[in-house]
Amino acid sequence: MIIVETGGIEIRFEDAIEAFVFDEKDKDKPTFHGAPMKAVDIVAEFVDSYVYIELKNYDHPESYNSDTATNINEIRQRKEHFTWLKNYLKQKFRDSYLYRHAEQKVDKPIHYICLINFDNAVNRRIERLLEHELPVGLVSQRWIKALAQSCQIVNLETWNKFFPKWPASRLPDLST
Amino acid sequence: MIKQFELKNFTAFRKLTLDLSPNINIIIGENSTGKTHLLKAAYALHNKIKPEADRDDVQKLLTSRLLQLFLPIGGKVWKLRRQGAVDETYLLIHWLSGQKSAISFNVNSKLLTVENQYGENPQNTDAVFIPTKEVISFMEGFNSLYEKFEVSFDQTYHDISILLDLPKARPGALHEKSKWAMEEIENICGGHFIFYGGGRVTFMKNNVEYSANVIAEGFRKLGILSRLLETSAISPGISGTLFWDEPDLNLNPVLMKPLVEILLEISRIGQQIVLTTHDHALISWFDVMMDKNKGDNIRFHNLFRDAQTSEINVVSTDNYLPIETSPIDINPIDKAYGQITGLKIAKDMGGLGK
Repeated sequence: MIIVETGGIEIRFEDAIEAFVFDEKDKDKPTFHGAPMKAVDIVAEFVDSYVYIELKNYDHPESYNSDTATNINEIRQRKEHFTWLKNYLKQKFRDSYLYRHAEQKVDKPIHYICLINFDNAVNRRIERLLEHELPVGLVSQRWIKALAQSCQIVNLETWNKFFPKWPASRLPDLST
Repeated sequence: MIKQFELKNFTAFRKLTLDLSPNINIIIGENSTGKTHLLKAAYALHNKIKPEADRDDVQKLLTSRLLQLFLPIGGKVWKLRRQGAVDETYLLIHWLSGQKSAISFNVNSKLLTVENQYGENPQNTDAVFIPTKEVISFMEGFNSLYEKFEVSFDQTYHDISILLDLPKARPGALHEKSKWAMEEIENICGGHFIFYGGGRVTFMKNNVEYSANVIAEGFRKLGILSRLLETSAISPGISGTLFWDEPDLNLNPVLMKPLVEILLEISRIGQQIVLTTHDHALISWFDVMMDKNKGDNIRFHNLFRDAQTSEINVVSTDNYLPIETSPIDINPIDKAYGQITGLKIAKDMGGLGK
């Protein structure tokens, strides 16, 4: 069992070979990131794959849902938020992939999971766009290897339902 | 206005108590959790009773009404009892005024028993029930057909057809918000429905008259709401509760916003609304457009079957978020999206993490 705590979330990996905070900022730790690149929060290695995990917790999840905006300005603003988030998640994955390439750690299929506190419907919308833009799978006949094998965007409840070997929980907020 | 509705041993319900908002109530739940039964049962009790009616009249009227609404096999009222029920069946409305209306029946009852205070509905106004299917396209001749023959439509279709066929209310009798809502609907549809009486309905657009049947079903649904306002069948602050079974059915999501806007506006001037839905977009519109500063009080009621007992229970909240974040197994809409995610994870990642 490997336990990783970061971003207010604890995940217990029952079957991981390795799992660690990928964007580690503590210089004294052997997993210190130290490169001027974006980085996902957690990387976990399993027998046949790697999993990149990005955590996002928003106070106002609705501000990313343009479907329920009530006026043109709000629609525009929410679409901007939504696009920003999608690009942010994309950039994090790509920079992390390059970093792992330099580590010679891209030898297994990579799954990207974003744990975001939106409802499943909104998560599904971001997921579809992100899959297209990461991109997921072999998108060119010239490619012989995918950058990302899959991309999933889930909330905490869905995560725990579908990844029972990696139970996740929110850590108590010690700042309040 | 209904404050609380209680059901005991009725159809699928062992015991259920629903505390209603005086404004808007949204009932969600998987199929077979009794959403429509709940609406029809409350509608059955929400009657204007003639002052001269005695207890026998009320008893016969309500028995007939319940039978016509639920169409039980053999026309037996006791068939509406929950299977395996031992105690009596009862339906009870607590009105906001503090008064009550209640009916009960038992095994082999032929007529309902009407509790003492029935008929003291302080509003003394009729409720309106808009059923799932729109009726404009088949209204012509429907009422006479319904009255003469045994057709497989329940009473809600007959009731709504009668209300739509009422003459227009005098313009001075309409609330400004009703007029505004009718104009909004006309703008959205690009024209308006004309009700000639006898169920004949056409649609007028740019001075050209069309058969109502060629008009989009979503527009026909909005046309029903507009006509109910035009006839004062829905008269905010005066008429009884508006029950609407799945207003989202066959309604394009872009039409949901103006519909929600209209429902919010008429609820703000005293129209109690109880609706059912399966649609995430409709709920999200209500959640986002509600304004507590304007007095909006939207209550979400989530019907679900208890995993152990299979009994139908309800969780009610004035804020949609707790429903969103409640265990996904009892939130049918989030559950559906969660299942799609689960299927995709299994397809993409195989047994990883399981």
